[in-house]
Amino acid sequence: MEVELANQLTASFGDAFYVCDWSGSHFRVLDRAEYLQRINALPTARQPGTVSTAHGNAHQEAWRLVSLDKKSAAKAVLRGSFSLLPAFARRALYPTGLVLLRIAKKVLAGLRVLKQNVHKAAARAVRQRRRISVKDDSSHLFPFREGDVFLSVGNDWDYGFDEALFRARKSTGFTVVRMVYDMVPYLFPHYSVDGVPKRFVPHIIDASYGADLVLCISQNTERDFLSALETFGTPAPQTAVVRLGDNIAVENDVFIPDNTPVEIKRIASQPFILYVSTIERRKNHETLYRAYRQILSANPSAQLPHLVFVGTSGWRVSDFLNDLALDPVTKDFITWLPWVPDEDLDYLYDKALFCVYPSSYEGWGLPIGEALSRGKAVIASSAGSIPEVGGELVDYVNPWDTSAWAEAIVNMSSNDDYRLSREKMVRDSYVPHGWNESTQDIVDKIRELMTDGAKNREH
Amino acid sequence: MKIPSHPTSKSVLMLCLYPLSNPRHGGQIRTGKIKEKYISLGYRVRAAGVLSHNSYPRERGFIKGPPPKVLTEFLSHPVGLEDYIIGRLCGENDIWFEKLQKQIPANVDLIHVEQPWLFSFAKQLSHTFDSPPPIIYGSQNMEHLLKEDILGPAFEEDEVRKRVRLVREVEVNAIKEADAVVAVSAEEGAWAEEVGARQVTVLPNGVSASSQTSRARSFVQSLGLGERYCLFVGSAHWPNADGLLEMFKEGLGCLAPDESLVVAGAVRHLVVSDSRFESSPNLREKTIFLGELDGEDLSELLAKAHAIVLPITSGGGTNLKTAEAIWAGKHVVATTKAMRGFESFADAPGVSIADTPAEFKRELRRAMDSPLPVISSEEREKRKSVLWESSLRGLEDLLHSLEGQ
Repeated sequence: MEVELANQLTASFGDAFYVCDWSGSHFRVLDRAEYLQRINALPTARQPGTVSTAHGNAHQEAWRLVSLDKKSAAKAVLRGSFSLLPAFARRALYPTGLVLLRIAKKVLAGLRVLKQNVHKAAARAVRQRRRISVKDDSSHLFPFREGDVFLSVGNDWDYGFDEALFRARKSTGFTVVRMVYDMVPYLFPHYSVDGVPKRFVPHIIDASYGADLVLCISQNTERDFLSALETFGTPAPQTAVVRLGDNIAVENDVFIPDNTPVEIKRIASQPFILYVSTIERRKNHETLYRAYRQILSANPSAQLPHLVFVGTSGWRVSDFLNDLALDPVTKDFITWLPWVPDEDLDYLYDKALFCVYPSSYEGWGLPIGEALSRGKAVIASSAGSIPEVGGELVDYVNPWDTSAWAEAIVNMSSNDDYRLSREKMVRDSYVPHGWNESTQDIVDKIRELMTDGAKNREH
Repeated sequence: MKIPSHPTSKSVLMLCLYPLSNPRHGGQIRTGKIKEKYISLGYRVRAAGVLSHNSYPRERGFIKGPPPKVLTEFLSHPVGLEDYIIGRLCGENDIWFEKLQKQIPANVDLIHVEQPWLFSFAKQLSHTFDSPPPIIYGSQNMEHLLKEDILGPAFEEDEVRKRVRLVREVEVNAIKEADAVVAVSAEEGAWAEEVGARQVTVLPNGVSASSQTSRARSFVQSLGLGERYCLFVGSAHWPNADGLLEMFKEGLGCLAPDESLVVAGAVRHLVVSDSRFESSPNLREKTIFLGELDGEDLSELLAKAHAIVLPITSGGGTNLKTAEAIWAGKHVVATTKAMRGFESFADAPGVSIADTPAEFKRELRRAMDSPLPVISSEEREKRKSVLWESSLRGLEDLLHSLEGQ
């Protein structure tokens, strides 16, 4: 989105648009060449100019397919080394090994607590310093003037510039536009990385005080955001909803089937269901795994399509990934692709039987739009903003109801008439929304704000 | 010290469970001001009692409180009832009675007992004098209700009821047996009359008109408290902490990034040790704790505050801090409970009443967004009624009426 947005802003505002980088203490204007270099380094597409053969691509991409996360890798190395020892040595070392493992776990737990306490003490010290040092208008930290518009569309609770931005805006009078994707760290702290929930709420509050406009990616996010502000007692800034885009940015929009890696082609050669999402607890891959397990335990010869997960692994999912890799009931039916380039993702969408999205909460649900824009039938959870994406074009299932998911998957895969009718409805009714439209929407809202701001200044 | 306008050779013994020099909490301050009033009326005052807490400094006339073992032997799990147990020991145990009696002169003309704990001791003591003097019971609260709030989280319902009954017995006994009751609010006075007080005088809490010093000014400036701050001052009294935490437990989002909640007083340790402090979004981040401060520094802090918050949701009595807040002339955001005894100021300029967390935060935001209230000279005159010299005026009439009996 940032790339598309930068392009739109350049087209709309020319040299009046520039990108800044937060160094931890102040904003720095980026040289255009430096910015383009950073954008091109993002891993969304294959390197331009690559001569791709099926074999070459297999080597190029295969390393991603077989790599494990670090914890699993460490376990595998230990297990492997232990296995290489002779039997008598393994027998002798096993009890000692267990004891050492227990001690190591306790030490690690203690170190984690110590690290947390050090971080807490450091954070307290920073807060104390900030209270004393951030006492001026902070305008020197921001290269903006009255009439300028500062736009941030990142998840920037870790940057710590909210208070300084508030002060600078107060003294200088430039306009600030922020973005809220969802309220997950506040509403579902148990799904968030350690420490994020604690940083998130102060960020949301301070960002709200310092914003002229907050863009929300769905009506649901807007509702959750405003409701949270009301609970906190924070005055609500002006808000607007902007819809995210559906299209994957395939380079030059040219799809070359011969470029697709062998592994991807192999997966796509049999019927499969696609779920595109980071693997983390909130995304609820576990319900799909349990649904498959339920079906296959009852009927080992069930004709089920393959289930393909595309997405990197997030936090606290190593046990789940272990289950996927080892469960004899399901392991031949579920494939996990940690990462695929956009072209291959486009290919997978194209070839999928249908798509699923069982997430327990979303701020929007990008992959649903991606699937619908390709005319695919979708089974999705009814939580959060998900129903806003596809409305009545999607089959909804309670994210916590494994049996209902099993039933929906079996029905959609085996009932061709039903699936085809749903696809037709999607093709006839769904209106795709491109990233260019999303970013144009953002630009339009900024223009409106600038016009209103100019009028207010006149008065 | 003011020279008494009508000197008298009369003496008064004041009994309480805390020392009176360098007063920190509301009870000490009130008792200290009553002592000053007696002196201004020409009385010789002798203060005595039991130091109910290890943190109290030694003072002439006061004996050290019983060790935890003795408290536990009297009542298992004595937490929250230490003052009650000390009172029972001094009233019923010969060793403790004599220990305290040794601190007291042979005869006095008047006994003034602050809070009901040492009333039983006072009653027995009065019979050892040549002529039993009148006893004034100085009520600071409806103690049994306060104990109910304090004991509630710590004990089962039945046990709370049992313990509250014990406190009520002592309290009602003091009210009935005293020759006069001094109450802090009309509500308390009415209750005392209901349970059988012979005579009731309402002397509300007040505030001193203190001056600001350059030292205190520099001190407060050096704290870096932000562009604007709202102030909460509280002693280590459970209702103080509970109210603050209740009002902000769902998050403190009504303060802008350049504003803070400054908390002064011993209430700090009660607040930070409560799980609501950590779990409330943004509360820790916005709060600056200053601990206990002396009078000058506190005056300066009040003078520089933009708003004063009084989020009292439990407990009885009246709040010294309410008097301070009204006198300070800043925005005041208070609960109905906090305004008890000061109801006439509910519509005063800058004063907002809010009883729910949502309302409280809304009013606080409104206060922080508004300029400081304009206090006319008329309004300033009216606010002088919260000064101690006004609030304790009725003591003289009470003493005259006792002399006449």
